[in-house]
Amino acid sequence: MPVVLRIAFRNLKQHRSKTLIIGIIIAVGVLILVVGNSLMDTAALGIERAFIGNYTGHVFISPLAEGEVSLFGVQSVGGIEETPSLPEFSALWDYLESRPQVKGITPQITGFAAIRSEAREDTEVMRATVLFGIRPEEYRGLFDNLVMVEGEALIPGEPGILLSQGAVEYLEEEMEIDISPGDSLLLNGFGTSGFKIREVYLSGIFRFKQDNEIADLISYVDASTLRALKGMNLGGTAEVELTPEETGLLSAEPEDLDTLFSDEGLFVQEDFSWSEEGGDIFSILDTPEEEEPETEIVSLPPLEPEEGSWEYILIKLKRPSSARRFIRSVNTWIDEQGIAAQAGGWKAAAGPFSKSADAVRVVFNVAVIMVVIVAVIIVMNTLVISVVERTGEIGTMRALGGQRSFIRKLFSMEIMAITLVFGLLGIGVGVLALVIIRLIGFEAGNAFVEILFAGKVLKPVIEPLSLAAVLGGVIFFGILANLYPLRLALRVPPVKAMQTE
Amino acid sequence: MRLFKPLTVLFFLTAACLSAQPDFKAMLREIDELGSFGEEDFSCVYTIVADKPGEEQEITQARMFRRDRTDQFLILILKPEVQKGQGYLQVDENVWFYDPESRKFSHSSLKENIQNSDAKNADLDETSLAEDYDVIAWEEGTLGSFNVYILTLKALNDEVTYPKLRLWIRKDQAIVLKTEDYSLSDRLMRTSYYPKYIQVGAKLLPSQMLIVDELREGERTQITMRDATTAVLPDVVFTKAYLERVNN
Repeated sequence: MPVVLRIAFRNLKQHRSKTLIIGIIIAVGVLILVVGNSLMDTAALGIERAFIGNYTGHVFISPLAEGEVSLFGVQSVGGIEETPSLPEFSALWDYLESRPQVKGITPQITGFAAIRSEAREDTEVMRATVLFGIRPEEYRGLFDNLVMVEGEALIPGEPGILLSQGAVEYLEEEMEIDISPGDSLLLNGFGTSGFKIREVYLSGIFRFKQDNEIADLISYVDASTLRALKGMNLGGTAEVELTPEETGLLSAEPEDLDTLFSDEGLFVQEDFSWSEEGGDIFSILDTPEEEEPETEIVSLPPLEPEEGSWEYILIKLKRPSSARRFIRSVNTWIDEQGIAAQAGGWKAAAGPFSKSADAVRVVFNVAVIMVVIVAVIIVMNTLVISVVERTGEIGTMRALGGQRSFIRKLFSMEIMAITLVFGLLGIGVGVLALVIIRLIGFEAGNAFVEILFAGKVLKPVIEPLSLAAVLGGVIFFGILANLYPLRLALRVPPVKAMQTE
Repeated sequence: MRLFKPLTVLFFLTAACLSAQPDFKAMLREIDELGSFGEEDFSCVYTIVADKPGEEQEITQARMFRRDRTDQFLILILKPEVQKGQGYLQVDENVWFYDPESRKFSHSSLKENIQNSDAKNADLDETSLAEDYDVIAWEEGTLGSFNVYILTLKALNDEVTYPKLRLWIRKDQAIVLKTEDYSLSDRLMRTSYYPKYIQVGAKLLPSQMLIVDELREGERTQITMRDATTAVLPDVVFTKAYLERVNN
């Protein structure tokens, strides 16, 4: 054993009580760091599981729109608007599929509907749901996030809906009926072509492996049913010819609206078109033959099935850390191609739902970091004081011929020994504390906390790399905390230093 | 005794003022009666044009059948083609929505919007202001060239579309020119204008309406009535079976 190390251990033994005090402070500091790091890692994992793993993926491709586009629609002043179809879908798909960074890829449509049961058509009870229209096989490959409680997952090419356990329980309770796979449900939806009702069979009932804020709101449906419900691939509504009278009021300036009442004489309409009495009320939906050639129907051309049928593409990457770089490169390609689309991260995909969870996570992390900073300051302060206290000893060593470099080495050895031993002790106690927390199983009270806990029960993650970083950090900061007071002490002339008490 | 004199004068002045206040409940009843066809059937075609900033105009044409004596109505969508044959049917207390593509009925309500417009089913139905609302405040004013009473109404039940209304009513005749619809938190939701009416016998019905969405700037819906008639309608019109049959 080198002389320096021997002297260092002898010194530590000699100052046993002081060594113990510094060591305990270091051990407690390390313990706080270990637990704090673990909780932050758990929260990060929670977010990852709740959003990326459940339904956003790492990257999502959406069409350009006036507001922020998320998986739930376009954010506008008045609320969430419908997302337009993704342009040049095939080109985007081919390009993304060929990228080596991509682990998996799936398209999606999102819609909103009220679920009702035909068995209880007399009741107004309904359950609002966000419908994810998917390609079942690809989706399952990308998001292995569901546990089937009853029934079966969606079968490719077959119509059906998967409802969450929560949604089914709500409908059963409110409608006082039993709902099981195979039952027929009515989806009342609203899309570009107005209200629609679609009958769909319940394929299965699921729950998310990792619960999340909106888990019970989401239902999975085959893409064809959702397209029909939303009226995708149908013509627009521009086929009705209007008279100037039928649109005259729309062009009035807001401040002029009260002047609509300025002409008393025109108030009771004299030129009103009265209906001729009679007529067959059963043929009022028939279009009179002579009308057809006269009206030029201006309607949107039907969209190609693949081109206009999807709203988003969700991507999982082989290396999640490369998401930013990947998004940048995809956006550059999209710009070059002139496609009205954009690539974004999981936060953009989760839209309003990620913001609240992320804000809670940030507040939580800040709180943990503050506690850690306080612990680090206390440790460093203790070390500084312990060196300053030994100024006299340093003077004596120098008077006896000890070189500055020797003393520096000696003190560094001492602090390395203390931080290593007590750091390991701190890590040990920290890991033990985390194991105990896992065993106790603190339950999350709500969805927010569930995200921070990465599940219904707090199971802190223990990352070996993170533990090694804590130990390395403590040793580094320990030596750093030693260097400055040591430099000051070494500057004091040995005679003067020896006089210091 | 001297002290009582001013008080007495004040008392009589207040009483005089109160007695000068029109009977607003009766006014509301008159409005309801003017817009209600009682024993007669009524039908017309409504063109509903919804204007939303940055979006294509949405146009719906629908035939309205009303039988006020039994509180029944049917709104049958005529255009556009993709919605043709859809209908809103009121039977007793229930409003049903019918989608001919799936041949399914679904519960709707008077509070629901007609297609993607700002118009609600209740806008095309007869009103029951006197029954559903109390007048909680009033003032006099002018609207364009009309002298009006401006009434503030508070709902007496939660079945109404809006819990608070403000009505601009002509002084010379109980006709509503403008309404403001408020939410429970007193937020202005919609303003509606009724600049043109038609006279059907002794009844008066708005033939043009403009509904301004106060939450989404620039969103407006115009409703225009045409082809009105009071011809007798067969009973079958107000049934689910009619909606199914008319689509065949």
